[in-house]
Amino acid sequence: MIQLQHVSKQFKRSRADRKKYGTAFDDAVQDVSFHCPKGATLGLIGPNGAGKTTLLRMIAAMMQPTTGTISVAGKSCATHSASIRQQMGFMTTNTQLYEFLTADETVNFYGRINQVDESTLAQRKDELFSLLDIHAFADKRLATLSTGMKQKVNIARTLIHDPKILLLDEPTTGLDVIASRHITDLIQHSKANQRTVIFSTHRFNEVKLLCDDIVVMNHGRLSYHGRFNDFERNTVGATLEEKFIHQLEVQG
Amino acid sequence: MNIVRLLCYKDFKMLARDRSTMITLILFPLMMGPLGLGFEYLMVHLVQHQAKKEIHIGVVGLNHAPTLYYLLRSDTQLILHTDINEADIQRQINDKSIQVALVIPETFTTDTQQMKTSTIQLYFKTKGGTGDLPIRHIKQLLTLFKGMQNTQRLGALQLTEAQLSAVKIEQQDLASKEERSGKMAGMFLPMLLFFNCLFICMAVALEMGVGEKEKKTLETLLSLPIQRIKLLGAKFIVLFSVALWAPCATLATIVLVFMFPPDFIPAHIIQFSEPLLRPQVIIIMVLLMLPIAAFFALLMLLISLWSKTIAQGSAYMSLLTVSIMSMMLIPVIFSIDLNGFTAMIPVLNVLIACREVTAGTITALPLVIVLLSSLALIAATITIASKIMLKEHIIFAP
Repeated sequence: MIQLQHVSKQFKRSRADRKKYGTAFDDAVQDVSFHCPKGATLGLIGPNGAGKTTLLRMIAAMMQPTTGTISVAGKSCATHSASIRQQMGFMTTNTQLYEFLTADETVNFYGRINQVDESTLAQRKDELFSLLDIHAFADKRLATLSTGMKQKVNIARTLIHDPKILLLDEPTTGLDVIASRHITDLIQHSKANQRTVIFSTHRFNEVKLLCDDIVVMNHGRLSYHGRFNDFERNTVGATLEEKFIHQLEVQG
Repeated sequence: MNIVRLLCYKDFKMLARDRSTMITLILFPLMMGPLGLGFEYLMVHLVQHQAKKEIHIGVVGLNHAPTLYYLLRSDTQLILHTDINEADIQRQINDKSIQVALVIPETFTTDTQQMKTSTIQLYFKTKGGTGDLPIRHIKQLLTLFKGMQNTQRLGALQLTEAQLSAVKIEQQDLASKEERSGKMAGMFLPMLLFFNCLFICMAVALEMGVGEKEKKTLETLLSLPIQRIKLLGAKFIVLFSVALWAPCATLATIVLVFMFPPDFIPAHIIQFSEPLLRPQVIIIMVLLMLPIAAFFALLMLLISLWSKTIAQGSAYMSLLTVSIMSMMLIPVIFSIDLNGFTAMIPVLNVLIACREVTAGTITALPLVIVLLSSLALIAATITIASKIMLKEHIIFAP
């Protein structure tokens, strides 16, 4: 479904950073290759600055790799970015919504931008609002809603066009237990609906609960890619955290 | 629905629901006319009030100049303080027991009789504005007194004023009354319109660019199947609309105020505004505001998208606004005319053109050059803005 081949991403450093680091470019992602099959849930783990967000943005066709290729369902992200983005639902850390719109208007806006026709939009909105219990506050402006309610609206707007692929960048960071639960429910629901999900996280309980495959990133490089069960079985360490740290140490 | 229309609709809806932005957007330009009126009313009222107010004047040696004494005493606005001495004048003016003081020398009568120049000292403290009206009043009285004394002396010498005046200069300003008042009106009005346009653009652009970056809603938009140029286009359309609204609404309220002027507005102010009521002036002014609104909208959007934080964005925008406002003073100070060269200097050309329009001295060719050079400027700014929109390290920063 999603294929990355020797993907690298370089950013030009600012003048201040050039002096600080001594190099003109920041290698955010270096030579990463992996494949995520259709319907799989892949967890992207790694310390801060490992390149997870950049990698997700490149998969979402929002950024172009400096070298290497990314293809989604056989189509290159470089040449088919708009049609690839239409198949995806993207949610990032602390994504905020438009506070002056209501839940209903927000979901309508994202549905129409994704070119969902009006009758399908109404039907899917109704389904999602029922599934996520949004009906009660659908006409309220988002500024007046709680974090949990907003998170539900965020999920609804991500799923409104029934994306085949979900890309979630640390979706539970900063959320309380209940709001996090909405996200894990979303991933499980997507799994059940044969969606391909790639999500980055720092929470190992989520990895254990949700992931089929994992990719461990460190300093922009791929440190591990494989089945989660194999990682759990074969890596040294008593807990998942220890295994993860061991994996990073192996790479140096 | 068309993507650009959807994006514009969303932004317009957000603007309409943001109370603080709406207050700025609607009240700020619409209040310009009434605010100007209020200020004018206040000025007229203050001047009238000052004109009726008692003026406490200390006079030392009043008995040496009887004519001046009768002149001062006949003025009902003056309260004379004759019991002061010269050494006390500064203290009395400082503690406000008197506003002005005159010191008439003991030799005044003999000096006058001997056809010598006698010096009367006038003490006052400049306050500025309407605070100086009492001083002006006394100066007028003294000028009258001086005239009376001179006439008396000329009479004694059996001379006429014409015999003392060898050369008389008559001034003939060839600029028509309309041209003069048009140049005055055209000097300040565009500055007001430009300022409103910049200010409104700044308020809205911050939220639409860097505001969306900070809230990560821009990232969500970029993850949707939208071409970035369309996203930029939609934001530009919204910002251009509000940028054009601000000067047009300001102009409309000012025109309305002068179409139906209240009684208290002095005749010279109404005469000053006459050029603004000519339909062709209003049409050309709006036409000139089109490229300016587009340029300011693009410029502010560009800065907003380029900035990393709202604070950084507002700092850059404020700096730009101050620079543009300072630039606007150039044609006022140096009285630059519109010619082939000045018609190509961005922003300044529209400012000078506005002045020429209100004065009724603009010709077609410079106007066309102004519009064409403004269009070229807009094209250049659009190119830069669309390039910025493609720069990943800018759009995804911080």
